[in-house]
Amino acid sequence: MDMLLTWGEVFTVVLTGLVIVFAALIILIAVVWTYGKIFTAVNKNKQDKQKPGQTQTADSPTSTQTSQSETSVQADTSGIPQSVIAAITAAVAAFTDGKGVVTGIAVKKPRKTGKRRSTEWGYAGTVASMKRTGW
Amino acid sequence: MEIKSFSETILGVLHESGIYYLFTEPDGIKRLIMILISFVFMYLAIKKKFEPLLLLPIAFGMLLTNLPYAEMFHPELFDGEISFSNVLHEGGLLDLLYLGVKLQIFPPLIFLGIGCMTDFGPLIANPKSFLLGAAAQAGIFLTFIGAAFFGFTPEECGSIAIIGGADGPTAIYVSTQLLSGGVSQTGTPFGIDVGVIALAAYTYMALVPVIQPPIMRLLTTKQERSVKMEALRPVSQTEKILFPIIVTIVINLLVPSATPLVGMLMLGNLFKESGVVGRLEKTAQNELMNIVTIFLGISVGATTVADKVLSPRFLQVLLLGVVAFAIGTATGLLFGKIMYVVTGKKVNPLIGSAGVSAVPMAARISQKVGSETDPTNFLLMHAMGPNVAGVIGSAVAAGVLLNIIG
Repeated sequence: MDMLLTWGEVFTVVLTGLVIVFAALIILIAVVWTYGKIFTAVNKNKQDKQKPGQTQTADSPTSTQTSQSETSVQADTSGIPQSVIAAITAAVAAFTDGKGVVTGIAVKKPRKTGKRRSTEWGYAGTVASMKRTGW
Repeated sequence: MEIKSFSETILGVLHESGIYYLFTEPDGIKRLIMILISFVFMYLAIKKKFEPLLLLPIAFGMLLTNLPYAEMFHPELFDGEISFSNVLHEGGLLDLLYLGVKLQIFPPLIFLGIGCMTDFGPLIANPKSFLLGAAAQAGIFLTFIGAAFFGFTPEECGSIAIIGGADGPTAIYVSTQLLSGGVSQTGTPFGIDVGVIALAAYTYMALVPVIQPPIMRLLTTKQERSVKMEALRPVSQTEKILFPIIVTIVINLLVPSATPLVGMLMLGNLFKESGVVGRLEKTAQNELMNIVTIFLGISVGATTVADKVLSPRFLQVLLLGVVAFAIGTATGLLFGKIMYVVTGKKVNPLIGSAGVSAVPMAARISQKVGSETDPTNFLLMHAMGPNVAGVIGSAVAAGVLLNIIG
């Protein structure tokens, strides 16, 4: 088979291509890693400043009471079907190895918290959603 | 005025019919075979759901262009320097649509829509994923060697190699630029065209679930496949907004020829992450992308003329295409294995194969193969990092090929 390119030319293309692609993406790693570190540090500082206020809320007896052996949530359940409460209770019990008890559920105005999502539940939901939508 | 007899009229109609052309003209049988091939691709798209969004319009474009006397596409109008006046006056519908491919308009617009649908969060949270996206691009450059060995021209080698990027719009973008003019810089006429490259690229993208898993199982051990990776750190909205801007600038400074693709990808992503242009985001990822997909598919399909497809060259392209995909998958996995060792078994090598792009199919394959070993192992989000890095990587590789060969 007659080659229209010499082996030297071929390897020049291959080597140049690989070097440039790796170089470009390594530079992107450095840039993204650097600003990721900066943002992580900034967010940590913000959280540290907010901590005293949060502790006060957590100490409030009306919100959530937590002990080592049992997780209990008490809130208003008006308007929520019993079947929904039962399903959530089952999920919490499964997640906390039977140590969690749901005594009530409150619906609050949804808002973005920007906090980390629960990993396994979140991933399972994402996988199911992607499968369902064919994405 | 002379009125023809009944038999003369019937014979005249018959002689001017497509059926007569198909069975008497020298290229009639070839056209007939091309029409049958278009049926095969339509079957694959409709019944087997092989990338139907693009394969179906491509197959129908193939049918239209090979129908006798339809005269919907005139490849001669695009040989050498394009005369826009000629295209407007003598061209048909498909000629006008093909201008969008020829002038590099459609692929970047598709990238705009893809950008609107892409979440770069996993990549920002774990920037090392870029390495896997880069490693998988080895499939592109190593396939270049194979194409050169088969005696293809440099421009054809670049067009075939980019199939390994597993990114249809990128493959069309590169091959349109490299194969324009019909003749290589070496003076050799091209034996393939954009349609051939697009057909091979989209066929193999649809076959990712078939091609990748055996390679993934072959190159990894059960212990490696069962690695559970740590949860990714949360990424703030500001980081997500800054990412497309920074990537555009960095890529432009390093590989300017990749800017049209990467720039539009990042613009779409900025629409999404900024949260202030919901209407533009919705339009770009739905209406605009759908319209462009129709135009791109049908006009690329129209370029698949018999002389280019019914040749040994097409079979060689198909062979090299699957080799490119396999090498890309393998190099991504092997780099994943290196990261597995270097990080002290914290990285599951399966996410490396997602670096070949083909979003989000390749990431889903990583998830699927990983869950075969351990059903509680959720690799999808970890694989999305290399997957979207592969999109950027293949666009950069495209820019490099255009820079070196174009």
